[in-house]
Amino acid sequence: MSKVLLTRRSFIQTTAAAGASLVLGCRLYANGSPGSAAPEAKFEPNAFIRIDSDGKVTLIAPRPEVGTGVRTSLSMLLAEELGVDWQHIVVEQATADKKYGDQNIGGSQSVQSSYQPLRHAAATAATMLKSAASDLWGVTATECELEGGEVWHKASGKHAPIGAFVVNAAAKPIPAAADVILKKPSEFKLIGKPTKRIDNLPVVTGKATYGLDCRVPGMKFAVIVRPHAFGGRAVSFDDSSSKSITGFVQAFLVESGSGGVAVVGSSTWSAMKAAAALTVKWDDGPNASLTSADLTSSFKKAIEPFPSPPAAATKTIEAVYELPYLSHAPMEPMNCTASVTADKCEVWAPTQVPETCISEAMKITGLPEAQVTVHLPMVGGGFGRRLSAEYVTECVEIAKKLGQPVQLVWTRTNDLQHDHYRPMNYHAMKGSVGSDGMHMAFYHQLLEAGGRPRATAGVWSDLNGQYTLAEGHVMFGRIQSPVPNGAWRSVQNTYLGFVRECFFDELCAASGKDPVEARLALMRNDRLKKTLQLAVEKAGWSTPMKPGWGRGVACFAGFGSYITQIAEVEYTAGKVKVHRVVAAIDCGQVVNPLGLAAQIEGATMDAIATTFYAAITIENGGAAQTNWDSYRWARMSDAPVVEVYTTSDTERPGGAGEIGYPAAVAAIGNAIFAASGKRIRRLPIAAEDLA
Amino acid sequence: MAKFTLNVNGKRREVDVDADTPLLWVLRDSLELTGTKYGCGAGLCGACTVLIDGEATRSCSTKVSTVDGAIMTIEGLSKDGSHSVQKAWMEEDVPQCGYCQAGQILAAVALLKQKPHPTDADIDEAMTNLCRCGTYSRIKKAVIRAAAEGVR
Repeated sequence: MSKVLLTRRSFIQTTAAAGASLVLGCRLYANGSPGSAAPEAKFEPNAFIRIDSDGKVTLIAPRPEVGTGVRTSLSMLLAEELGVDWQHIVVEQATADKKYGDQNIGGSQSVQSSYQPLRHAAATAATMLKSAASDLWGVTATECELEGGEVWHKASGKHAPIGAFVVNAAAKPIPAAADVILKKPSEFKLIGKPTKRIDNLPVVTGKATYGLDCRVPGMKFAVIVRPHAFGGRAVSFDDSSSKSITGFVQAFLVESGSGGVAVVGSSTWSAMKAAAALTVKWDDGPNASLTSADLTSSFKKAIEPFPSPPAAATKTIEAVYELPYLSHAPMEPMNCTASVTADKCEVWAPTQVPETCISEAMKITGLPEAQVTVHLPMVGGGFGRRLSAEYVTECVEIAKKLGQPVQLVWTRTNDLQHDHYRPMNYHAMKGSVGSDGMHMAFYHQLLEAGGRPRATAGVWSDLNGQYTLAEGHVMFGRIQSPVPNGAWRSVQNTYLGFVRECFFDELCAASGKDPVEARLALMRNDRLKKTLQLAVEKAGWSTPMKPGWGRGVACFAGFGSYITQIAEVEYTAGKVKVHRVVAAIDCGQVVNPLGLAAQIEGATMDAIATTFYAAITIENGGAAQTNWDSYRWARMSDAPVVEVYTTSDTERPGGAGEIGYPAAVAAIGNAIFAASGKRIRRLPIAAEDLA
Repeated sequence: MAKFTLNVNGKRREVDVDADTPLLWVLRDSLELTGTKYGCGAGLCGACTVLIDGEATRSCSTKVSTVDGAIMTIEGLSKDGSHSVQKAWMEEDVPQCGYCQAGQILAAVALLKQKPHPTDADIDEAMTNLCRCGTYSRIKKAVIRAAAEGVR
């Protein structure tokens, strides 16, 4: 249960005499105050609210918009408690600043962590507006209501726009937290209603400013010629040919990020052309001969013997699952714009981690925080990629050396070859079933490439999964790899969801049990079970399918939410088409059903792309893929019908951004088995695995 | 460097750039029309799609010296989002990150000019632009909606 403390000291009130506006800035502490001794205590962020005398309500959005709709859902929370109409809400993007607390976008946290504090902040403003109105009208404040952008006293019929009260409200003391009453879910007028993106108009007119669209007077453009192999570095370079390129400005070595040679031009094209003309002497480093096959060999060598299955086991199966490195590859490649002078550093960063951008800029420039400004433009996709900010570090380094404002552009090849990847992973599975067909045991050796060693590595431990098993054990392990790892939408669940739910399906097949019946019988969590029941009903699980068609089911609990997905696929002559994916979700209180559906639709496409097409492979110590022709992604013709249904008994929202992937990828794999009898254990699917 | 005269969104624009400069960078860097996006530089994703005489063209792999026709970018489709395809995009709530959508919208405008009432298969075949957020099903609905309402 999250606890919200709203102290007077944490509020900042200002009244602009001329502009007449009420600004409520607040720091809110959810899950305990910062000084709290509770181990789960953490500092939670909030937005600034501004109400103008013309009734315009501004949310100063602390978190950047990476495409998850956070600016829309946070605005909805604000509008709900302030009782204003949607069209009165305006969003301003905050810059990166400590005063907003945690501004990161990650872990499906944005709505979860803002839901209570932001509503409380808005309800506090509402309480103060009602108090100001009650003074004027000589009525009791608690009899006043906010509705349609007005304060109402219905008993007397008095009403006036909220803008009329902002000056007096701003002079009011901050009410105690206990005196601020939030709406009950049954009173919601906007939360839970399908609401279109607040940013749609600037997007469809091309006016939205993304990172690459930032323009600074006198700016130059830069690209970095990067080493191919991870761990490689530029020793020296010859730019004599680059000098003949129109607009070439300068080339120099960079230390940050991947390292390499920065090539600066007067336009993006001149920088790219001059970069292509550059000759670099490389030290390929210690990994220059590494291939994906080497990593697979390391995985195989790291496999340890399985424990013996229970005595009651009548059937035992083993399987190996293999998944590749994945690049995030958002549509807008990594980029940053920066201007560095002796006493000021200004950065425009499409990022998921605003605070990291500040600290990186401070590190490179040596300037104190007060002299660093980080602007947060719109972000052309994140998926976890922009939790790393090395492109910001690189750009600030280049701007500092150049002494002029500069935009660093990563080419698509840079973006694919220097990502922080979803790690390559390998799974040795063993399972057994008893004579009743239900007495299942499940052993899972999970190996990841790279990363920090786990404390539990090499030890069999309780799987503690979503099913009641006779025995369930997992052993973690890692092999060494120089390839950088990162968080990719749903992180380790990308493979845990796939492998566990597909191997469970293998055990169902081994025991002759229907995959839904077995899950219903063994499922430990009631909320998850309800999503399974709803998905089964909506997908028509028991209705017969045409020959060559099959259904697959998979379930996932995580990020505070529960989901079951059922995929319908068609298998013909070695080819698979995903026709329909039904999702049933319990993510608590849904703030914006259109936003939730968008996340599930998108994650389902990620599942299709990574099932059939996408992989980063390692050759000569670096990523072999260079563009969308070698790192293939799902297109329009791959898109299935995606249906999203919800069920919930609880108010607290769970996450929505990442839950759509893990079960979708497993459901598709299981559906392919149902349609073709072919068990999918390697992604992306190789032609021979479907032949 | 050479001077090129372009017709961009109904206006005569003169630029002085290398002949091999892709139209994308002329639009973005010389003319400050940043609605057209860079996604791959190789004509593979369609984020840079513009219309040349009404035909969807990948500006990242179109040299400025080869352009012979009237260019329309997203900024020229309408200033206020009033074009029927833009309206359909908002009505179907298509955008997630939004980065590819200018290219998607222009590809849809070109498709609807050729085929005012496209089938699902027509849309699959013509709308090959990449959307990394996976908004395809909403794009399809928006194209069908725009077709039903008639493209201006």
